[in-house]
Amino acid sequence: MSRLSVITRCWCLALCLFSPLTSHAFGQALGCGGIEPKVVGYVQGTLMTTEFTVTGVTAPGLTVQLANSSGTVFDTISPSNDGGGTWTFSVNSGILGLGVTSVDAWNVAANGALTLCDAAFLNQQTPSTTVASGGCGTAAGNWQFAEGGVNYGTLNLTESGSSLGGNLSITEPSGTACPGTKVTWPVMAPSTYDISDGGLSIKLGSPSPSESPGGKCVFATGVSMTGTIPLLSCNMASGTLTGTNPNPPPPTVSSPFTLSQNCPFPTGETSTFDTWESAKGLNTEAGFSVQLQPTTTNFAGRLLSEGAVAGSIKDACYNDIPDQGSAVQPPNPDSEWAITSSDFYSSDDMIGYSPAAVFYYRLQLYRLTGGTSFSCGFTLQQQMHMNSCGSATLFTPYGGTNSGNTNTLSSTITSTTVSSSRAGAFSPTLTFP
Amino acid sequence: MNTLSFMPNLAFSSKTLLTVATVLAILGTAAQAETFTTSGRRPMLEVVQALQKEYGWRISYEDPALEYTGDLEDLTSPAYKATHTDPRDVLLVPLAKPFTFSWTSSAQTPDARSVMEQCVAQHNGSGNPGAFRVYYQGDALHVIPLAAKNAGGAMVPAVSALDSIVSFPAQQRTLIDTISLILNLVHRTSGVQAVVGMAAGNAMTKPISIAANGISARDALLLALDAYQAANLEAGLPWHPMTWALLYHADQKMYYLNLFTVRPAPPPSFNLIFPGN
Repeated sequence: MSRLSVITRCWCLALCLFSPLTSHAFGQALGCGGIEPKVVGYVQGTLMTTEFTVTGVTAPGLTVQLANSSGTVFDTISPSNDGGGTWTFSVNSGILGLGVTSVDAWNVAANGALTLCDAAFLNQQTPSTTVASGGCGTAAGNWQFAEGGVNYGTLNLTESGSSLGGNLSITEPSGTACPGTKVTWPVMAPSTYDISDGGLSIKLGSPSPSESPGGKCVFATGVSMTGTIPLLSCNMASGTLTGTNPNPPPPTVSSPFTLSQNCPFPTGETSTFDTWESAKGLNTEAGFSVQLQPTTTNFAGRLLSEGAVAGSIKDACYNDIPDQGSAVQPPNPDSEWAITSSDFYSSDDMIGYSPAAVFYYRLQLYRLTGGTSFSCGFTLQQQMHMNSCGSATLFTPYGGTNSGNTNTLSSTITSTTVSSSRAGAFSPTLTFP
Repeated sequence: MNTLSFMPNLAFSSKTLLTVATVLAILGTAAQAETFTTSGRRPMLEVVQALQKEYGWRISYEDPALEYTGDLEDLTSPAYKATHTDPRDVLLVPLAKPFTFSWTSSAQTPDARSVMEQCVAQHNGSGNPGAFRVYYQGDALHVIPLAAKNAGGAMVPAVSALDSIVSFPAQQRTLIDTISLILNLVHRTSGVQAVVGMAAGNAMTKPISIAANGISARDALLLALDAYQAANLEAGLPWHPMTWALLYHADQKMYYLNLFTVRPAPPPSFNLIFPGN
């Protein structure tokens, strides 16, 4: 039996169930395949040209607009139609200003109407002051080794000319087959760093030990790492790692990795109620001012990212309407901040239901319960992360309970009021509206 | 499962996303069947959000405007009805039965479009309220209403609120002001009311600048969310696209726009450390 016949059988089953109306879905235009590449970084003063490809275009025409961060369209490009729904065009960094330029591809219908196909983004930045001509000056040093945004150990690199030495040391984290297991691979020849283009090529020797006590885990052999230290940041690197499982299958694995240089992280943070965000149209959200600790360490310019601890979001208002019937979804903290020169978040952390959500729950829960007053709210555990120095992708948790690492956030709606809290700091109770 | 522990990355880690078929070796490739069983009132939204979380796909969802009483359930308490006699003053929510979606994939990370098309096709044949179609804009997938029963119970084509055409000049506004402007224009052109339901306030207050010139509200919304991400990119932050769930509340005959950031799925398991024999 071929793979095709399996898929066909699946579609046939689905089609047999369709009403004539719903089966029309398959005859409708499905949109546009999209632009590649999606995000491109440019270094100011370094002339680069990017070739873009737009695929899956079903409209008779395509036009491309370049817009700056003010929303002003400063150039329009007519791409080449390569046939088969594929269009191509190029953009030269010389026509771009500093910052992000949006590259918007628009389908052009026969009547001239525009529908958005897809957008790509060009980010022109000033070069790092530590950039040598071409690539970074050295790869030597202690690097945090991470995969999937999690630090697992240290890659220590020494450098002699373009040749690299050192070792990779990893500790298997908790929750895995052999938690706490430590293993080290030596960096062996030929391992090189090419200063002209930032290219990194590392071969690792045999692991020590070769397996964990009791043989619960075995460690990869024939490991190689290839990647680059990018021009814009000399204290981060990324690439792909491959290795061989001594006990196949599978015989080999590969995965992206990141490296970053050690840099300081906060020990905690303090929260203080600042204001109700009525000036921003979010009257029912409490703004909390947050400062990182210790204030003796300068975190200015570093980046923060928040998330919710898995399974920690408990929204009683949402849950009160049975079987996920609410039209307002539970909160999902997911914001980012830069750090100011005095170690504060760049803006308040805003916590609460939107005004429309407050009105919605009051009305619907009155109807549901028939009561004359009620109270409901949400709680969740907020997890803060800070970026590693120079990295826009590697973020690490910091602080302790209610001090960065799992802050308790809450908000409560009553018949007449709203209130919120963050990490032990409380807003006053607001009568709303 | 920690990413440093080796495991074949063919199964969902979510407890509710179950691998039901073992690998089928077919012409040297492997096809995998996955299922997801819903429990709530919006089965299509449930599977969209499960796939979004599992794979980091950027998928938006838009409710059909349900009008048929057989597609709705009245949850209003008798005590409330005793004192509120207006028949429109009731709590109406979608009425759906649990449904098991299934799809096949031959890759470790399934093809988003293929999976969504399979799920939409299955929903449309499930008997649950509304029918949908999939619309693509690059890596953004939209699940859009295709049809729903009218008040008389006849299946009729559905028009999404976000199909309204909007125009406004470029100007710096906060993200929430820009979105509110788009929703106000939708109301003005189509008579359909929509407001922001759930959204991260921290993101909503950031300034952006976009223009719209005779484009759909969906396109304008996508441009606004991308402009916010572009501002983040400029500040050195990673690209985390946003998407939405536009949910209809039948008794109010209005929509609530809920906004989410899409986080990338963890990379496939690899590692230097494997289970021993």
